[in-house]
Amino acid sequence: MAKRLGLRAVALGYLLVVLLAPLVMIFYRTFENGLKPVWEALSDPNTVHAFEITLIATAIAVPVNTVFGVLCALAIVRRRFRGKGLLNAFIDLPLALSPVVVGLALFLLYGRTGWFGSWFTAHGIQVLFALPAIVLATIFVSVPFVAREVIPTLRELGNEQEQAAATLGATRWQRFWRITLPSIRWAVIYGVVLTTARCLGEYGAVAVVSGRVEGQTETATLRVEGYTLNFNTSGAYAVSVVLAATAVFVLVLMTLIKPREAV
Amino acid sequence: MSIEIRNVSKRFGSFVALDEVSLEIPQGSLTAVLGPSGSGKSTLLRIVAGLERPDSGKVLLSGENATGIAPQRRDVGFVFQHYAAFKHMTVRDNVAFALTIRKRPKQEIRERVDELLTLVQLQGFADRYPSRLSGGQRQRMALARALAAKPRVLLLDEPFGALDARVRAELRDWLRRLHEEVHVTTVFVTHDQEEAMEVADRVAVMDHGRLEQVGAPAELYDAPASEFVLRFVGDAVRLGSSLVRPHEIVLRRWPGDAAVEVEVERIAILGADARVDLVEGSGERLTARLRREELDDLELVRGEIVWASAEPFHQARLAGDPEAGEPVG
Repeated sequence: MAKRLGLRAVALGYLLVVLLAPLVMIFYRTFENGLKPVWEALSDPNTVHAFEITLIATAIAVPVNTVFGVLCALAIVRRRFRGKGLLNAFIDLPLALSPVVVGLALFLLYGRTGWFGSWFTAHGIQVLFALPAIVLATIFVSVPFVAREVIPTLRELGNEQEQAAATLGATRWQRFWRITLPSIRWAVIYGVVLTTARCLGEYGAVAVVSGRVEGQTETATLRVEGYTLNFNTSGAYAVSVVLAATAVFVLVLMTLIKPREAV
Repeated sequence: MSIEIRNVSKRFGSFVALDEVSLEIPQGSLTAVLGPSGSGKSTLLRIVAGLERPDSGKVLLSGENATGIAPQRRDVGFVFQHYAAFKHMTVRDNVAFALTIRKRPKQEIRERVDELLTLVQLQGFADRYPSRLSGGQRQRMALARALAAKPRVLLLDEPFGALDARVRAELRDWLRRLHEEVHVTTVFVTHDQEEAMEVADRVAVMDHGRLEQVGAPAELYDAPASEFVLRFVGDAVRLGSSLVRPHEIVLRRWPGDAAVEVEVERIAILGADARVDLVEGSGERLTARLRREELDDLELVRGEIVWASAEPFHQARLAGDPEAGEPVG
């Protein structure tokens, strides 16, 4: 009993110090001087614009990575092909790679003389220092989450139910929509939540490729940094609190809707 | 619908699952494919359903070549050993699946599902999820689901393998009766010879990817085509140099022609029969099955020496054996 208590105390204590303390600190500091400075920072048109950019990038990256995440998971679990192990490892690349390196790679690829960049330049499309680069960076860093959630669920599911559906007359498409997808839905939803959280919080790669033009190519996280550099601490706190509150809200929502046995 | 399997072979890597198997299953029959695990019986069934493709050979359904046809277009019902229940659907939706995807009218689906649930005795369970059913109930649901779209063939892969003995016996009877009612061509795979003999009118015995013998249960027992069939269908023990059924062994208190001297190791009374464990002088063990009267007449005691022989007319006859006599009823 004492041993179990000890384990619980260590786990809780660790999370308290490492996760909760900084979060509480942010909330405390933000509202220390009342709501007025918070409101001023948040209603600043440049802040509003920064949130818009973040939301647009997230709204594009999440569906794209959800669809491809499920496709990759299906390919890895259900198909046999050469280079499958490589694909499996490759999905985790964004987790292993520092986002700054990702940003630099995109910078080189889409720069004026880069492989793709020269084509875009020739067609008059601005990628770097504009929304497309922000979206690309956000997509890149949030690739792994859906696939990583779905792969183990698909493995556990096996393919007997789908085979049964096939013998009952279901086409490949019907099997996917009626059997596979409903069976992996919680994994997909959880993957979507993690992807969303990662997209909202992306900083490093976006910092390199966006150009950080206030009111134009600044995302919410870049806005926090901008405020900090300008010694506008209450502004930085206010934006941070919105980001943190969103994350907490998403996690709470997740816990509420996820069926008990799946937790 | 009749099924014809012609020279079907299938390998998984270096493992030969099926080796030139040919088998005909007549319209309306109830056939068991019997064999030990790894004999290729499930692979054969999955090839008939289209869930596996043969490396070579053909499958004909109603005389038409179906080898390359996808499972969803074969019009077969398939029942899996582990039920393959759609866990996210209620019993009703599970059973209705084949009709729902065929976009049949709602009223028709409802009536058909009710009819099937009555047939499998799950009337009160329509709104439950499979996780709240017992194994036997899940398998009955799977059967109803497979029958919903009126398939021309019903294929069952070790359908009772995961159930406990009592439920298994119940479902066997039930399958037999179902077949008499519905008369759909049915093939089931099993490793349990008793199950095969009890339920099927024809049994195909497989071993190591090859078909050993096909016939009525009595034929397999009375005239096994190979030593494997003799051993696998019914019990067989080695007495001296020949293979015999345990109940064909006769014990006497005196030596005789071809009688083997044995020591009584253990006697177990099993109701009307008794099992006598014997040891030959060479250390070889065998089991004899005696009726209680025979045992009582002999007044056998543990540790005694007796002589065991198998009467010629008692012996199981390998087909084509010139010394085989007429079977005695």
